[in-house]
Amino acid sequence: MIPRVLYLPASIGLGLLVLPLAGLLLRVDWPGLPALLLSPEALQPLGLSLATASVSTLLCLLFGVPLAVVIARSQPRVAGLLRALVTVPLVLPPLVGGIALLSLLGRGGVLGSTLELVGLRIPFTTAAVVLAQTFVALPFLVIAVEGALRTAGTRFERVAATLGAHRGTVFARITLPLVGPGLLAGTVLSFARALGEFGATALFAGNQAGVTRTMPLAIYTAFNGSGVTTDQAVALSLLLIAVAVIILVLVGTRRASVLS
Amino acid sequence: MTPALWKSAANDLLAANLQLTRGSFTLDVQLALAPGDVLALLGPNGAGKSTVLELLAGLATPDSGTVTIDGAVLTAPGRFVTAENRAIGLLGQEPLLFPHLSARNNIAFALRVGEAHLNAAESRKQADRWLDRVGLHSFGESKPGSLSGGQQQRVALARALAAGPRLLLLDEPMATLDAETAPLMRQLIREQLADTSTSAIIVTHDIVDAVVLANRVAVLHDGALIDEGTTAAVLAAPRNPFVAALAGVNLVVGTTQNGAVVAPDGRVFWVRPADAGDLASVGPTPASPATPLAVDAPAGLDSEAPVVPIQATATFGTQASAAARAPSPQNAPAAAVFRPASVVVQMDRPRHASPRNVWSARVTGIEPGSGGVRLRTSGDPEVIAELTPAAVADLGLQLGSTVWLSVKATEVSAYRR
Repeated sequence: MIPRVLYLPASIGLGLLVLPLAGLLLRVDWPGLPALLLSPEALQPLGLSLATASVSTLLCLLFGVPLAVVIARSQPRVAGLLRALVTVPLVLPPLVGGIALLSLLGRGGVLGSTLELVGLRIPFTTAAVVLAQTFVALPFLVIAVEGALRTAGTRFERVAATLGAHRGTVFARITLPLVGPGLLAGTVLSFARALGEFGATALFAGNQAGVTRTMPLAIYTAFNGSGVTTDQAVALSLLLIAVAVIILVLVGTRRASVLS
Repeated sequence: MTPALWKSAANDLLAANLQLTRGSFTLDVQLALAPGDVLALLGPNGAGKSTVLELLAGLATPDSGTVTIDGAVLTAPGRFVTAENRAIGLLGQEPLLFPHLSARNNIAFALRVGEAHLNAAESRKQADRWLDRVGLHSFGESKPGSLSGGQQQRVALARALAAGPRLLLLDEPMATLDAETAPLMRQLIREQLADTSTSAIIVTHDIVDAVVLANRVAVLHDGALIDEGTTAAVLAAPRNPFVAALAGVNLVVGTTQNGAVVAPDGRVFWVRPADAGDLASVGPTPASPATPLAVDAPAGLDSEAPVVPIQATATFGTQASAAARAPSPQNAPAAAVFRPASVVVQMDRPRHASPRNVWSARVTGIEPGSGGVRLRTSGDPEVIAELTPAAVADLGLQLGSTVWLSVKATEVSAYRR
């Protein structure tokens, strides 16, 4: 049923996605890989990345799910406005996001100077990493969950209400399970986005080893050759790819078992 | 306010007075329901039937008006009790079973959050009993997606009733079911409403729903009630074209006897074999000895004398009281339905070998009908025959003429009520 002319562009598209990764694998110094990956220069950013991305994902769930519910159940005009506001960070270059965060929370920023008065300084801390990651990851979760909520509609919720279920019960036992797949997809997307976050983090949190140097920043640092080799950058990239693949596989099997 | 009105208001389960305007559509409806009533809400598409249900269920807010149930005010100016606090159930065209919960857990959900407020263990136990009641004993673990449409709707009925509603709203619950499943679902609804003494309002297009399920009928047209009363009265004297079209059938509301339906005036209507079996077979009571009215076998209907009304009326009285005590295959409420075109009109007593219902009657009305001339004939209920103008002229029919009417048993369908 597929027109044959589609196969050529399809192959090119697939090649565009796969070939660079294959090229990366070919560049890996396999004998030296264990030593590179077990070095503190690799393990420290990995630990920081996993920790900050996890916290960011939790924050996304905590604030993103309610936001998605509000958008999905608002009047169309209000929902359209809210959806646009949520989408802006999604289409914004992360670097601009970093500048925006600095403008708000930086030394001379609107909120930053106020926080400074009470002795709170966010930029260039681990908290800034989490904030930058949440900023770029939150839209993914909101859009995914909101879409699932709108697809599910309110019919089941209305039925639950006529049975006598109060709003909290309906939300926990009907709404959330109904959007389960969307929620899972949104969570994975957010985590992956947080894990790969570079631009906003670099500007807003800096690149301090052990504090704000996450995997992407470590790769950038290694690649720029500040005391480490390209081999290390490649090895770290491989590690990041491995983490992403493992998550996808784990989620894939979970999802399959949920559906069956 | 007279004492009588106060009394009637106090006896009502539901009293609703609803006004709503949406664009060019205006709804203005007053409804009352006594405990145990099942009201069929009839009307063409767009008449506002589903809107009425939503306003009653608390899923929509009227512009003005009141809703009270059991004396509790649910909707009034400045007051709106939300759907979850109304104990008014809703079963729509689609089952809307929660797709992530098994059949058992769908019902258990209603038992936990509904009037029963059972705990998890008890609600699952009770849910199994509900599955039994709707004939789905072995489907407790099934997810809705693996059940047929009819099975899903049975679970949805069990779920709606398990919540313990003070009033159940049914919005064309048979609409999406196929022709074989719909009658079974209808019977199940009838049984379960009776077993649980649940009052209900059923929105429907189908006269059979009104006949089988409801004791009262209200007709909604363009947002206003244009007729209201007992099922038999409303359908016997249609006041608008919609009801006339809906009721364009002869409806005999009576009792069963040996697989036939006995009219209030004692006429016995033999029905098509499939329905006769249904009328005779259901219920735990074994068939009692045949009463004089039903001595004749179907083929023997062409006996000499038509049924004598006086004898019939007397017998009917005892039947009615017996039916009220214990509905059973004998004397249980039932209805027979047949089309006016199926009624054959002759001046002389017909002789036929095939099972037929034959009786004599007087012509009480001759009026134009959709398919020719409609002949109204005496009896309780009156029977309408439809024939061509030529046939009317041929037979020389006039008001007051005595005619012989006959209907083949195979043309008569029957329903338990």
